[in-house]
Amino acid sequence: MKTIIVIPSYNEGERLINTVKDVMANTKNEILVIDDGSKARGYKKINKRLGKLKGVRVLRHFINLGKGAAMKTGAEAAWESGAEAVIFLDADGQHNPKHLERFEKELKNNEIVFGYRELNEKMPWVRKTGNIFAANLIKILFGIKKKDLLSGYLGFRKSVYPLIEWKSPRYGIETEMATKIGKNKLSFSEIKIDTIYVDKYKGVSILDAMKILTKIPIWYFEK
Amino acid sequence: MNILGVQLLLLGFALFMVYILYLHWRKHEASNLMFVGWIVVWTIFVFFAMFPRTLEPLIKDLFIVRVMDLGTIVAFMILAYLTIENNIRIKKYEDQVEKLVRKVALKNRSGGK
Repeated sequence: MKTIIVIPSYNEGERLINTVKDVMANTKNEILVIDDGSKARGYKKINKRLGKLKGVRVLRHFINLGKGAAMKTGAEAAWESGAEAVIFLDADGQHNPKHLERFEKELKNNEIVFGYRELNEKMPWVRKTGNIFAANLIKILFGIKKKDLLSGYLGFRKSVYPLIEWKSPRYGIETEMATKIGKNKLSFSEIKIDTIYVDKYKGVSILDAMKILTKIPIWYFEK
Repeated sequence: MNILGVQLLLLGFALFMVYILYLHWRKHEASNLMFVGWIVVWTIFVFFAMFPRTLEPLIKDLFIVRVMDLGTIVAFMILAYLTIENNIRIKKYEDQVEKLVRKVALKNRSGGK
């Protein structure tokens, strides 16, 4: 099964290069980097270096749209390239590429595979509380029990894409995807992953989390 | 005296809005029809601000105590309508921009070795 690894990126610079190299060391699959409108100077430098790497392609949004939109571009580019499955991981190095092999194996038997982190002391408390609250809300409204609602380390097959295709252009994609899985009664598997929290100021802010929470009831009533 | 102050404030606001509209009309950002339409709206606004008693029969029918209360209710209704309208339009434009940016990205893809 042809699988493409998609890495959405925004102003990650050197971290992106390191992540791509780590991914290359852990998979033979093609890598697709979606630059989501990073600053022009930094992008040119990074793109030049990525261009020298074998099996790495780069697509660029000329303006910043958000992680969800970049992931969507990645998925659509992958399908255009003949891929049957995609695996997403973050560009900042928080997702360990050593798990890619397991994702690839799981995707052979499951249409959707999510990475999950143990809610341990390493996770910032705001994230932990938000994750638990949202997970319970999703469980009540959509009947889906996920161990980690906010993990962006995930993969799925092309066959389920029309059923889980998300609208969120920024954060909240993983949660929206979970609601669609629940609504369509799709099955999925989960793989335990280890996560490194690279930056406190990056990722989902409290405001983003609030927006995601307010959207959950909207997704419930959406067709 | 108080009423006169409010009336002056409303008149000043209406004139300011007409001036803003004029600037946009001069830069061809507002059409002639839009310009005239808004002038009519602000003229009606100034008329009711200057002669609030003309609305008294209406406020009695609506069981509203003061003309000021009617003005507040109408203003909130207009603002709510404009907020919804703007939200829908912004969402529509965001979707269009997203599709356009994606189309360009897919067209201009660059490959590694």
